[in-house]
Amino acid sequence: MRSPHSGAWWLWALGLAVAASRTTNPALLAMIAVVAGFVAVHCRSSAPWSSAYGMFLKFGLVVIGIRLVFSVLVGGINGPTVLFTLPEIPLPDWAQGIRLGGAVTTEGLVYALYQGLQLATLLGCVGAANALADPRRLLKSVPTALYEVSAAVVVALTVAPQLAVSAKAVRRARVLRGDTAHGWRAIRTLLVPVLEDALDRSLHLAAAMDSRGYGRTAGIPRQTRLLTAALVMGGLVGLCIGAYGLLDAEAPVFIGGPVLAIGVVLAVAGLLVGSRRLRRTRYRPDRWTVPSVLIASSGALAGAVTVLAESFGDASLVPSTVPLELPDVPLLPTIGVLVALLPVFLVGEGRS
Amino acid sequence: MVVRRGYGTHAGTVTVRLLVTVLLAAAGIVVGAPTSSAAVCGGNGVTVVVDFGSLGGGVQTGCASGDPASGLTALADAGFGYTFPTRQPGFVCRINNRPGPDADPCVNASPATAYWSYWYADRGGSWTYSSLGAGNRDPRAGTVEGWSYGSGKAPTMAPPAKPAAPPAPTTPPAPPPLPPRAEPTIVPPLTLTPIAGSEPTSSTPPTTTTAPSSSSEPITTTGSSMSVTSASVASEVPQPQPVASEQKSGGSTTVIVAGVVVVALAVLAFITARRRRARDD
Amino acid sequence: MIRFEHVSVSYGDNLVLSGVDLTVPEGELCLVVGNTGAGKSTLLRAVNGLVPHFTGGTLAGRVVVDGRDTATHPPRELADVVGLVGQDPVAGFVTDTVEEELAYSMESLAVPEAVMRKRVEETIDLLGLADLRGRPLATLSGGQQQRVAIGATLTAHPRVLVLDEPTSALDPGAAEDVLAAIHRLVHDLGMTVLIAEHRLERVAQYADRVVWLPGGGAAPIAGDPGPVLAETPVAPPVVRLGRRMGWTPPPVSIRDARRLAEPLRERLRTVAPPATETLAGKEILVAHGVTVRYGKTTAVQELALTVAVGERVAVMGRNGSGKSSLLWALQGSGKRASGTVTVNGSDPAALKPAARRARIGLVPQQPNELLYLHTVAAECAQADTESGRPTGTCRTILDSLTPGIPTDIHPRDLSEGQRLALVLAIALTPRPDVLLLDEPTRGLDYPAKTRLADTLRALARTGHAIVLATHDVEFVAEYATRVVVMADGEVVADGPVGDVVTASPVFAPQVAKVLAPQPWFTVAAVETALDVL
Repeated sequence: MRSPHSGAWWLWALGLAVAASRTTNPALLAMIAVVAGFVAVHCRSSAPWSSAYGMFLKFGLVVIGIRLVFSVLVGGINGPTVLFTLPEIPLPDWAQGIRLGGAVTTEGLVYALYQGLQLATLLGCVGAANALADPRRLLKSVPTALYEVSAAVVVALTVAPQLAVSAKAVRRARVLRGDTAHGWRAIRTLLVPVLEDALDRSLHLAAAMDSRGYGRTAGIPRQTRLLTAALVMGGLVGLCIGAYGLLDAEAPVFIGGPVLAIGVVLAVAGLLVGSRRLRRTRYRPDRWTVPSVLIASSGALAGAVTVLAESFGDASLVPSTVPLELPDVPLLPTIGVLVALLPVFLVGEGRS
Repeated sequence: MVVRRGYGTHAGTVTVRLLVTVLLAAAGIVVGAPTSSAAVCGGNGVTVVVDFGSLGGGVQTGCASGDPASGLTALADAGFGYTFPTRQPGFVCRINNRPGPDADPCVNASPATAYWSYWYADRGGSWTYSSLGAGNRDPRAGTVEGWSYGSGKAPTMAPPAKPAAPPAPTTPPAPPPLPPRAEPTIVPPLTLTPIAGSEPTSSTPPTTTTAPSSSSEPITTTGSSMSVTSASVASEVPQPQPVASEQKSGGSTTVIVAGVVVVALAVLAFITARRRRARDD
Repeated sequence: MIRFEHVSVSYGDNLVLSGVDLTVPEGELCLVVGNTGAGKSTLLRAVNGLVPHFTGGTLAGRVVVDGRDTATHPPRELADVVGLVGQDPVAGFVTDTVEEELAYSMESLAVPEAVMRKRVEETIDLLGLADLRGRPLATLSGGQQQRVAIGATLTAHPRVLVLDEPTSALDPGAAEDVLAAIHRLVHDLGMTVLIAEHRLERVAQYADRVVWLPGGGAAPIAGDPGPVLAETPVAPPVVRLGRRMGWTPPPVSIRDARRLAEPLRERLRTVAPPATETLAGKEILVAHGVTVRYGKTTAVQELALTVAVGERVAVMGRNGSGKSSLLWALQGSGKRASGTVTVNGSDPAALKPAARRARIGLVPQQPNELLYLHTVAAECAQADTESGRPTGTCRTILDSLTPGIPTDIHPRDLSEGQRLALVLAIALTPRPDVLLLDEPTRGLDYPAKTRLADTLRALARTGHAIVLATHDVEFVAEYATRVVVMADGEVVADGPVGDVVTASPVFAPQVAKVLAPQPWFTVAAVETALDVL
């Protein structure tokens, strides 16, 4: 079977992430996390990037840990149930409002736990998407006019892991010299060879890309190029101003919707003109097959249902921590999230 | 950041104040406590002025005796109940259960046009907007704390000066405090744990809270070393405990079902991951 | 196909190439030879316009490829005519899987999707990549990566293929694969190929023509492989042997040389080949049951090795057979899952890094990783402090290895050979009992390799034991007293250089192949024997 469109996986994960961002209910968050995790381990391919999911999970746990530690040290939210009291460190006047130490309460810890769990779940969603679809393949689906941008991202994605490898090699080589350097010198002994290596690699890669026809203009007139640049830039500026106008209620009405619309039109025109400028083709592009659409929709549904439930005022999405209450399970969002298990039935184990 | 629509003219400053309140507020609980009416402290107590503004109910004052540790403690000690929004605990979105859930669901921080702003002043002085959250500010003994509902304007009542020998109640325009709150529209899912026990320093007698008095007359209790004035309108304060426990019993089955599903999926995912790793190697 | 007209290239005042007048006709395999730094890479990169469009510098004269002048056509506009494969194929990979890499050039050239599919399949068959198509590039072996890099340029159907040291990182077997593929391209498709290479023993026999860059900006000399190579200092052993014997034309392939060598074999029949130097030193490095694992892959498996003072051991084996892992484990800085290693009575892994390097030093595959200061002098001073030796020790060793390296030069600006000498000097400063070298001959020309062999021989004589990992058969013949062959992390052969090297044609040096069955391995040995006769 043809593997689903990478965009489908990212939309699916985005839907789950939207659901996770709308709730701090630990039951719902745990549901989202396990749904994302199960689909990730079931549907992922055997390519190397797919094994990164475990790393995202660990990172999520670290995030929860950090959130709890901060909650203990800095406090923030407190309730009546004091667990223990840390000595409070007095801070100068300008740091008023920040408290170090002091009483640690169950309510504060639970609140921090919910928040940490939310972040960890978001990370889990991103990790799942990352395991399911190579981000590089996704970049191949962007409009041709944005090709340069996507190429830059691809290069960055390629060079970053190589940097890690080279840092490891240099650190290992340092031991061969007796490893006498400490502090700033040690950093320098590591940084200089790694950065030189990175620079070398980038130059080599740039030369290789150039030799292989990257960025061929193949006789497109200069005016067209200028027109594209102007359209895209104008469009982006319009988008920014329009978005600001929409979000800031104080701004005059005409700045909101109309400018946003103009921005969109300009940007789309720029992309269209730009796509004609760069003549490129794609090798085995991803296609929006029926399963792809279903995958994307199942994730989007989970997000949509949660947002709807929120707008209808489902209080269980954000369980109260002060006072502490046992969280209720929001029924509709939970069902929506379970629908996001659909890919398990659409995609066989270890496709591709 | 939360984007709010419909700022007033002072949108900028109000936003800043609101942010400060949201970000810095901490330490406190949702308290179901009797509402107070006019009371001005003698001695070292902290006077608390609450201006209900557009909510109706005028301005009420209470007295927190002793030296409350924070603005929130002072508020509670003075006999006012308050509620945090579920998403932003620390920000005060309701005092004495107002505004009601139809005006402010108390999930996120209140909008900049209608929120409880927090002020302080010396006795007989003038109001200063607090740059700290009520949970973080430690009111000096013998000063005045102010709460005002609206778009960030100071309480309409000036900070009371030192009272004359018998504490004279300041008379707000609405002597019977908050009769509308007795309406059944106030469903309190997010409320109210009694203050009792959690505030050992408090000398506000919790007994007044539970007193089934429907009297709107201020009852003045004068302690031996301090003067505590508090008005009880406990009749409309809902009893929080039963509400909370009802919720728990209702949710527990679904919670268990959800838990089982989560655990099952997690186990399934774990097994799949193990099997696939074994196969890949 | 390719025409250089009065081309000279200079960076500032530094003249790299001059007086290049050269025409490479269609369907020719042209080999570019010369010392390190003679401008080979510059010449190759001028073909597709990377010089000067990308590298800067000044190019005078004209380079015309398939009728297109590189002055007006930047590399990207020549991508459909010239395919360039750089020294390090990994550095040129843009995507991350084999199939996508193969398609990348075609995507840039806007080849229709259906055509792309067809060409990718063709290239996969042509280069034998069928098993690798979905594999991530990072997981391929060196030879596979090199073939993918060549395939990735071939899919664009270029008419010229330019290869910069295509076999330098490869083991003999993989190098054969790659060269066979190139040979087929020339013969089946009539492709024009330009190759620069140091390991001429591998490539010279395939060349139709050789261009020798004497270096220092002198004009290149082009002509038939035998005669031109015979004139150069970088001639492969078989050509040197022919030159010594006065065979005309000097043979380039083993087959030609064997035909001419009949009388020589007769003459040498009576002479005993030089005995391998006797080694009576005490055992200084003893390793038992050494195992190295990375995750679930075992790089070195239960390996035992004993090295005595004065021994010069060469560790050979294909890419990924565990040579580097073994060296690092022996040195003690690398991982060792189990086993014991003792150097002069103690386990180096248990020592502090500084004490460890005083016993056993290692020169890693990428010497750059050891260097981080701005001048040679600073690196040397640092080495003296690190080793607790009097100031100037490192510099003295460096001068004895390669005299005349300026002190204030940046280590990155040194030539490959000079940089190796610097790293070697740094490693030798604490006077270690055992010296390990990982692939030291990469990028070195024949004279530099001979100098390195002399240096190592002298070190062994002064009481060091030396172990080096290499693919370079000729260098092993010249340098080693003993060869250890590894495969899949285990020792498959261990013995005196003569026995191991003659046992298999893959590891046999050219002289041995020419004079088989008599056990002669180097031109120098033959020369000495003839002088006696």
